[in-house]
Amino acid sequence: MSMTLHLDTDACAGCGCCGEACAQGALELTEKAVLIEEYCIGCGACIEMCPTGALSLTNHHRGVNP
Amino acid sequence: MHDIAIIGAGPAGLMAALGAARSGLRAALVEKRRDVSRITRACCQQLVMDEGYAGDTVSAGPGGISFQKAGFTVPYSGPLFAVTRKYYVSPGGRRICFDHGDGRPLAVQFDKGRLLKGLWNECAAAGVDLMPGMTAWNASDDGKAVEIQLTCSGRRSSISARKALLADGVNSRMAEALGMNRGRTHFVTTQCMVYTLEGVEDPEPQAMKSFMGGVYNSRAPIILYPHFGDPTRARMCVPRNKTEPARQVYEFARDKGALAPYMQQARIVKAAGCGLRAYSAMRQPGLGNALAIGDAAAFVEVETQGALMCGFHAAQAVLRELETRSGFEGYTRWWQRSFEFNGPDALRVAQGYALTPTYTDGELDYLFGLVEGETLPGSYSQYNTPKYMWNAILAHAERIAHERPRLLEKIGANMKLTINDTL
Repeated sequence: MSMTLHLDTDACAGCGCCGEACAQGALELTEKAVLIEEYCIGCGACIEMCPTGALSLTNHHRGVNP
Repeated sequence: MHDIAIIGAGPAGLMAALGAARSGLRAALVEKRRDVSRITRACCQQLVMDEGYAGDTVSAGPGGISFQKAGFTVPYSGPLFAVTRKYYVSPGGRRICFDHGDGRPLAVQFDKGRLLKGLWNECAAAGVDLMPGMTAWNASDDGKAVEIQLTCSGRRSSISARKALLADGVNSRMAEALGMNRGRTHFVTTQCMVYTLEGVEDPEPQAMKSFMGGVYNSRAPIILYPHFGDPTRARMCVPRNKTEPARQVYEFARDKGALAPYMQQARIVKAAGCGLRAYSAMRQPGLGNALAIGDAAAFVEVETQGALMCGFHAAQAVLRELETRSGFEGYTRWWQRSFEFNGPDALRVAQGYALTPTYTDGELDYLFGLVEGETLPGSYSQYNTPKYMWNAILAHAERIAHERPRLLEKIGANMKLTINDTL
C-alpha cells in the first residue's frame, strides 16, 4: 500500500503554491496545477500549502490482496 | 553558460533581469507561469505611500512608479486607484481612522498583471533569455556555478549560470534547495484567499477597512479594499483560521458583526489564494554564488515596491560580484538597513495583527470606541500603524485605569509580546 496524491482541478485556484513545496518537481502550473504522477512520491508536503483544499492523499492498494 | 540565472518573474526577478541585461550580462529568467499577466495568486497589488517605507519613498503617476532615493522609475501605464483613508473596525462597528487629512493617498492600488507584463516586454527587448512555463525545482552550487533543475510538462532539463538570483517568492524552493533557510525561524504555515466581489454595499469605497474580532471566527483581520480598476468591485482578503479554510471563514464572516451590512448582496466573481510559510528574514541573503531577493529572503513579504527595489539593487550587486566579489556583501548591507523587519522592534508588528484572540470582542469595542472620532496619522505601514493605534488608545490610559483597570494591566502585559508569542 502507498499514498497517492489526488488533485481536484475544479477546486484548484491556480496559485502555484503547491509546486513551491515540492522537492521532486512533480507539480507544475498551467492554468491550474498539473501533477506529474511519475515523479510524485506521495509525501504530502504540498497539501498544507493549498488554500482551497484541492490536494489530498488517499490510500492506494497495489496488486491483488490474497 | 549564462552569467546570471534569475528564478521567478515577479517584480524582483523582472527588475533584476532587466538591470542585468542592460549592464551587458547574459541573463536567463526562469518562470513557472506561461503568462505573467495572469494573476491567480493572492498577492500585494498596492504601493505603500508612507515616506521612507522599506528604505525609500515611492510615487506613482502617468510616467510609472518612481523611487526617490534609489533614483529609478519602473514603467507602468495601467490603472491607479488612491486609497485615501484606512479604518480598523471593531466587531460592534467602532472605527479607528487613519487619514492624512489633506487628500494624500495612504496607498495606491495598481494592476500587477499590467506591471509584470510591461517589465516582461522590456526584458525581451533588452535581450534577456526568457524561459516561461519552466518550473525550477532543485538547485546546486559547486562553487564555480549554480545549476538549476527545471521541469516542463514532465520533461527534465537544467541550466547553469555563474551567479543565481533567487526571486521565487515567499516559499522559495531554490532557497530551500540551497540550504539557505537553515537558521531561520519558521513561525507558521498558513493560507489565505483574496476574493474579488461584486455587490458590496460600501458608502466609502476609497477607504481600506480591517475588520477585527472573534465574531468572524478568524484570528487575523479580514481586509476589505477597493479594486484597482473597477469601481463596481471590491476585494477582500480572508485568512484561514486554525481549523477551517478561508472559504468557510468567508461564509461565516459575511453574516456577522460589522461586516454584515456591507455583504448582504455580495457575491464572489473571482478567487485567488496563496499558502505561505512565514520565516524570519534571512540575515545573510547571499550564499556562495546565489543571492535570495524579494520575498524569498524576507519575513513574509517585501510588497511590490520592496521587490522592485531588491531587483534593482541585485542587478548591480551581481555585476560587482562578478567583477570584484564584493557585490553580495554590499547588497546585504543595503538589505539589512532598508527593511523594517530587519530592525530590532519589527516583530512587534504582531501587536497590530494579533488583537484577537488576545482581546475579547467587548474589549475591542471599548478600546476602539475611545478613539472613534479622532483622526490618526495617515499611514499604511504595518509597522507604524500599530504604534499609532496604541499611542492613541493609551492617551486615554487614565480613563481605562478608572473604568477597566484589568484591561489596562492586560494591555501592559501584551505590549511585551513579540510575534513569537502570538503565532
